[in-house]
Amino acid sequence: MNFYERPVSELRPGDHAWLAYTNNEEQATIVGDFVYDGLRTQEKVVYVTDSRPHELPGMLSRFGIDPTPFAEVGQLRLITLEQSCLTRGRFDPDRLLTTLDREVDVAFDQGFRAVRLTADLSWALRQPGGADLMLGCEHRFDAAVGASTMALAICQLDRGQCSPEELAALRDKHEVLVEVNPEFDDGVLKITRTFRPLGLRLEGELDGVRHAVFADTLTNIVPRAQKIHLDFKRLDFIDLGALNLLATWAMRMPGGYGLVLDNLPPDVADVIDMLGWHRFPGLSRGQGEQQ
Amino acid sequence: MSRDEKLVHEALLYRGRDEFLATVLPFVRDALEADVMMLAVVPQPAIEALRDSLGSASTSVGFLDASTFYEHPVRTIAAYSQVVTQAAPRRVWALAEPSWQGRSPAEVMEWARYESIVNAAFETSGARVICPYDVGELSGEVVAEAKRTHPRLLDATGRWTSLGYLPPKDFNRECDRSPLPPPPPRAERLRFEKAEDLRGLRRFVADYATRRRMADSALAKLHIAMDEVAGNAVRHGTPPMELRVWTEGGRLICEVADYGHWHPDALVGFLPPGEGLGLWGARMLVDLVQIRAGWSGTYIRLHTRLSR
Repeated sequence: MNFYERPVSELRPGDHAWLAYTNNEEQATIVGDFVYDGLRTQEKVVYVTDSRPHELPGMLSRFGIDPTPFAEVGQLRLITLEQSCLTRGRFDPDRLLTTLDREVDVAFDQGFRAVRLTADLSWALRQPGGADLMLGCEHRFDAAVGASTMALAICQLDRGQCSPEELAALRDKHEVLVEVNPEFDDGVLKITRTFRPLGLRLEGELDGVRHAVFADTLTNIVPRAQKIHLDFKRLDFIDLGALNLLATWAMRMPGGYGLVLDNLPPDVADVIDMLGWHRFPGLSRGQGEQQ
Repeated sequence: MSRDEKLVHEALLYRGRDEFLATVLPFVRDALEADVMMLAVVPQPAIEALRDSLGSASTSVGFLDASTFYEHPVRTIAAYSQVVTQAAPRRVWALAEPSWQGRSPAEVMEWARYESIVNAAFETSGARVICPYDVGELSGEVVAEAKRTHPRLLDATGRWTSLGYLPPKDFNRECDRSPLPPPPPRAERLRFEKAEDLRGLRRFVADYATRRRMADSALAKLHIAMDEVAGNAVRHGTPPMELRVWTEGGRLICEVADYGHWHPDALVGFLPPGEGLGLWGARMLVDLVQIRAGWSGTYIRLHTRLSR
């Protein structure tokens, strides 16, 4: 199946999106936005989980809210695994599909214009035969959500719980890969956090007008005491000031850390070669592109 | 600065291979004894002659072919700077013979300027450099410039102080004394005034360069250099600012003009900077940067060859 990446805020009814998160922070960032956007825009949010409302990813850490009041009035519905998808303690995909169908109908009857569904099924994958069960139900779930004019869904999986083969097979069942919202996007430059590897993806043109916002994003988002990757694949222009800014920033990182430039376009690699990598002591070539 | 950190930069005026070898071989042998890094950046025939004469000792000399090393004056200075830095704490001694044959008068002037800037760039490096000039082969102008760009001269008979020597800033000011010819009427122009306009300038240049089949890699470098220069005009210049683009003699020329009264250092952008990149970066990325700054305004021209 062809798939495309879409920021969480751009998910639309009919989208059955996939999230293989790398760590809790990525989950909190994406799922947190998904739930929060729903609550904020009077959409129904249905979350299959044994957690309590204030424990949902990102609610407290990102937004500082306890969504319990939304649960009390029915806009946020948490359904336990026992109530939604377990039969005698085993993952039961038929039961999950029935549950979600029912929840969409209920939301419709309640007058919501959209319903957001999400579940983290990493645990089910670890049950005997779990991967096959999940693969078997994804297409039915895809058909159900895809045909809906009001349902949008995110299937969550903890990357660390799956084998690469399972990940690839499950990803192929989804048309949309959900990713974080960009930290910045003015139509010229887009800056998006990446979690695997940790860093930022830059797209468009990074010029003098955008130095300040880029420096702020680096400072606010990226921890200094780590190796940080910057993905240049879709960066069409970077000026000398920005290269200098990267070098200055990297110099302030603790010893042994630095900025790794991934997918350097050949033209940019050529420019840095010409000016001399020794002028950018904290920067190093990463993987991809460049010749 | 202790005395031995001072650069020694001499022009050797020689006639023919024998005179060349007779003068440079003692210098090379001294270098090998002094445990310095000895570099010979000379034309291929001279490399072979030196290897033959030195025998097994030639393995301690770094040989580089001058025809490929001397392609771009600012890049050459940067490359030598790297050599000096990497050799430290050892000193660098060099035989450095740029290629002069086949250069246009404008190129000869840029390489003479390069010879002059060497005095400033390596002033405290402790390097010893002999630049051989084949006076039997080279034009009178090239030899005359050598006497103005090297503080000391030598030939088969001995060494002496060059009376015509000009300090680098004076030499550079002289190089840039005459005004640049005005842009031709066919030049395409675009006004700009703020940083937000630079993106439009990049589009404008890309459009013009693509119509003239400039290679993508050259355009990418021109974009960065032009952006730097135009950005400086926005920050420090006086409106109206204008970008002019035209082609001339197989080159695309991109001029940034403003009405500011800028009085740059005569060596601005020629020496590798300690930090920041600025105009040096622009000079590194295009084939030639010309600057004229005075009461009539500031004009910076970037030259990029259209084909390689």
